[in-house]
Amino acid sequence: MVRACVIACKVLEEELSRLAPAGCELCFLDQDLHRSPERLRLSLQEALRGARGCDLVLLGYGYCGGALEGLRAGTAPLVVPRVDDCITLLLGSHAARRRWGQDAYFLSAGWLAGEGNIVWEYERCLSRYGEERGTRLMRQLFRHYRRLVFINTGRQGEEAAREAAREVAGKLGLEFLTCEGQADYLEGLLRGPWDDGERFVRVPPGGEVCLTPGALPGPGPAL
Amino acid sequence: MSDLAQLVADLQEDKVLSEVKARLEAGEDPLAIIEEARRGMQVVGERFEQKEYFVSDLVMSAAIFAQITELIGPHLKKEAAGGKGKVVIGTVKGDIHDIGKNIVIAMLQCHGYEVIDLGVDVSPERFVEAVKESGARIVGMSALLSAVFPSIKETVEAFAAAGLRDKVKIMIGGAPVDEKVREYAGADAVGRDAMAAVYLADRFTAMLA
Repeated sequence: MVRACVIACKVLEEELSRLAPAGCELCFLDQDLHRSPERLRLSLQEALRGARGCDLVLLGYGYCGGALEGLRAGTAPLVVPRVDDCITLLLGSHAARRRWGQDAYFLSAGWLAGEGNIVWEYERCLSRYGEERGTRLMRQLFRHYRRLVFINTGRQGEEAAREAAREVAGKLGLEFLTCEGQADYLEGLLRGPWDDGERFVRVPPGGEVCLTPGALPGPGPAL
Repeated sequence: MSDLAQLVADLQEDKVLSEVKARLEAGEDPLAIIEEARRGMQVVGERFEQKEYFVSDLVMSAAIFAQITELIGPHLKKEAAGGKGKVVIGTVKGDIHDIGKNIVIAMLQCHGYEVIDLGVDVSPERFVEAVKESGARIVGMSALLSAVFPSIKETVEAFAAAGLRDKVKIMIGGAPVDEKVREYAGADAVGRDAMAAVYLADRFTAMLA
């Protein structure tokens, strides 16, 4: 039996914990590490060192600002989803992500559970810079977005998170929509097959992660 | 850190602006002022990484920086104000992130370039058209999403298809954009930050002269 170990971002904690097969080891890292791709890479490298007893390491990350580039697999092979970020993983496929186009900003309960999430950020911005300046700054940040899409994944406390997202969408002047997340991509990450060449990158033991050039499917036309 | 860099780092908008005005009135070199502001911006980035600042603070710092460059604009020497040449710049198709791109634009303008900003989600055709219309010899492309790397490549190819590839120098940038992406896309250079864009533009200008 293959001993798999999942190293993933906390954003996906509940979703992956629910889907993971029995015996699969799970390790979640702080979402805040994304602030610095360099630091995220170092933390992941450290976590890989800690996963020595495994036959296979599955990463619950995407391109994440280039943080995974150059990451070195340990003694076990590595599997990395070929996605920009965890939103595609939560939506279930590249096609699902493409359907939304570029002007959609996504949230999930996992995103809102994180430190410095957008609902918290909105309040902080207004209290730091005042109602008027703060509102302008936040709207500036979202000015190229038109819609805020909340992905339902069945997490605990999802309803409250969804309402918070709805409220912040109103404040930001964004249309609020919800959609159902699909487990397909995460299931694929947990159970394979990983060799379709499309959805996953496989890195042999000791190899280096390279997700760059041409490797990622382009955004393509909206379906 | 100089006072101005410190004020920028602390996001003291009003104090920054009055300090810049005072220094300009005292006849200080505008480029020295912008260099101090840039150092302050670097500290903002570091504070963000250290969790001291949040995303809205980055937007605030960009807003302060834009106001500084606006104040400085009229004080740039004639040959410095747009005199070095034109740069066509935009965020590539499929991507709408522009905070970094706008800082690059401000830096280029301060250093004597006339910048034609095409905005975000810019198609290869629009890049090519803008170069044809303006006669610009330098193109800058920005991307924050790895999924749009093919857009960078397609834009480079569009210049080739239009017979313009050897007429323009293309620089690319954005958080995930590195040398591997440059190689993949066939661009001429990659820059890690706003100042790198200025160095690259200067290098290109010298090569094209």
